Amino acid sequence: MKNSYIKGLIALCAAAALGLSACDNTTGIFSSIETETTASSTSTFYRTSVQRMAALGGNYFVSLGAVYARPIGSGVATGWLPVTMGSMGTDYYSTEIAGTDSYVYAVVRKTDSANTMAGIYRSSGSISAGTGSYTGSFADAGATFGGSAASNFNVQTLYSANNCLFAVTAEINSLTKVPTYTLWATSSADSVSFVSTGISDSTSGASWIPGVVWAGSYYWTVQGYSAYYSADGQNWNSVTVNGVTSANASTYGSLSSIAGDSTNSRVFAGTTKGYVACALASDPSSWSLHTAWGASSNTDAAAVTALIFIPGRNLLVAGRGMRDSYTSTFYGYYEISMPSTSSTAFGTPYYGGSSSGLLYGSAATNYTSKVKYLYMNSFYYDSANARLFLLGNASTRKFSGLWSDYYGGSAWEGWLTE
Amino acid sequence: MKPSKAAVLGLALLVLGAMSAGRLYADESGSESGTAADSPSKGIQAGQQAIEDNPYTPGSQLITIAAGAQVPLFILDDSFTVVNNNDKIALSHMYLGACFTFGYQYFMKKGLSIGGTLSGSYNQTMSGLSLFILPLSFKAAYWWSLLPFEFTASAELGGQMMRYNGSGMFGAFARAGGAGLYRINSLWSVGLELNYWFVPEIHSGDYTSLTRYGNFLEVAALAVYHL
Repeated sequence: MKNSYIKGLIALCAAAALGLSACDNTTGIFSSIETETTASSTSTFYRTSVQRMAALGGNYFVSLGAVYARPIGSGVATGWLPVTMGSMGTDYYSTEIAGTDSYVYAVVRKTDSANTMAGIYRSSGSISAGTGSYTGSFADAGATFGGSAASNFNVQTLYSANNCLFAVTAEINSLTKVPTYTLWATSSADSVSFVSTGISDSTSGASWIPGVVWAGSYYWTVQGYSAYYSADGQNWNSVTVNGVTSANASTYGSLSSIAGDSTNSRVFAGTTKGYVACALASDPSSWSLHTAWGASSNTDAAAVTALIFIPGRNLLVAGRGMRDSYTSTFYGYYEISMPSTSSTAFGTPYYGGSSSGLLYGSAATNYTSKVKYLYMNSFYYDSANARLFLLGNASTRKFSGLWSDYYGGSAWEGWLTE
Repeated sequence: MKPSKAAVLGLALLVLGAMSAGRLYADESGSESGTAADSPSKGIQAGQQAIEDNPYTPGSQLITIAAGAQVPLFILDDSFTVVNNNDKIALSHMYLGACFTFGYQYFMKKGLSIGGTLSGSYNQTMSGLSLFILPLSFKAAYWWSLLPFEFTASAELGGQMMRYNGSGMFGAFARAGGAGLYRINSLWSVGLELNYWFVPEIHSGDYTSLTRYGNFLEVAALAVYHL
């Protein structure tokens, strides 16, 4: 009898230890619930377009006119508040941010009628609670472009790759009003001394530079009908992406998005006609090309506006959008499984609501009810917390522009509104 | 629903149930024997089997099964102040949910039982997330009857596991409440139970400010099987 009591006690202690091991002392459950908000007209991201995201110092940051933040541990949809921007307080405008391992950078403009450039601000990522906003640690980084202050340039966006910053500036032709986009680079981690890369559509204009990524051995970017790669971010080589040329524009379109897989030194690019392409660092000139829609019945050729490769899951997500149509068919994303090795072969693309879809979790309606109607601006993956963010344009939709999805170890839990 | 209203409503239901039960029994036994006050000790007929007025003798055993609604009442912060979110949904930011309980009780003395309960509850939160609470508790209860109606008041202490948005917490758990039942036959009773759940979420060290105390009201249909 005594032995059975001892065994019972041991079993009870084991169960308690097991239970306690599942605890997360740093995340408050009820405190997260009490700060939740609904996807109502008062929600932070209701009917908004969210462009960029970063994570640093235990906080997530997004650009939404102002920079907004929430503690990573506060839970989905909870704790989002605007962040003060140094001496500008909350009286500023910013739609572009980028993060390195040490700083979050924001392109900051004044709230005057012309949204005059104020500069590039940066923060170590810390925020402290305030009334209706977080007090941020942002301060002017003193960025220069070719030796001239950032406030003298029309900085459109910032990208971070391998802890180095890149910027895209626009120069508007006074006669045609067509912008010329130019890529600027820095030479070391967290440097803010930008120099021109020479990548600029000075001849035709209006070709956006959708990103700069680090894919193991090279920095990569795309503009118009060319892909560029560089070992140092300063000196770039141009390559053609498997027939994606101006001559074939009606078939493939131009290059509209880019993503990197640093594990396998692999780079991906999307086109305005719905194609995706892949190349390896070992052979930068050799690109495979595939339709993003694969064998799906949804064979529309919407632009691949956002691309992300999710390491560990080996999943390429191709987000789509077409600015001149509000037809639901032209939105959403495709999932494409990729080989876990250095291969450019594409797996079968699946429409986000397909029975083979992974990201929606257990029910396809998680995708088909709302997410599929979003124009995809970009994706952000927080690998430390296995959370994928979908940054969309919901300005014409009655729901949130920011969603996230958590990989719970064996499956994705489905999209939740932030 | 504000906590005060819920508490008053629950108490009122319990009192009304007890009063009506007493009247019903008095009417029924009075019509048969004319001596309602004396009749409980003589027992009544339920189906084909006689049931004693107080069947809860030492050694008796019960299995209870309940399912119903889980009403989120309010959340107390680490200074035991009600968190007031000043919105129209619920003070707790949770919607009406569901719950179940499965329990066993053994009578140590006449009317006095001890046992255990395995429970589960689910509430959706205002942003579409889910809160699951899985308590396992030790239960002490007192049972009495105004046949064919039975009543019980109980208190429970134990532990619970919560899951929310990929996070989990393990903590203490307390529940108190009562039930009113109708004895169908010698084996089964069915009725309604009301229980108050107290769910502490204790954080330590630098995270004590995350400590909260959840408060819920369980309203459930209850079936009791008399072993």
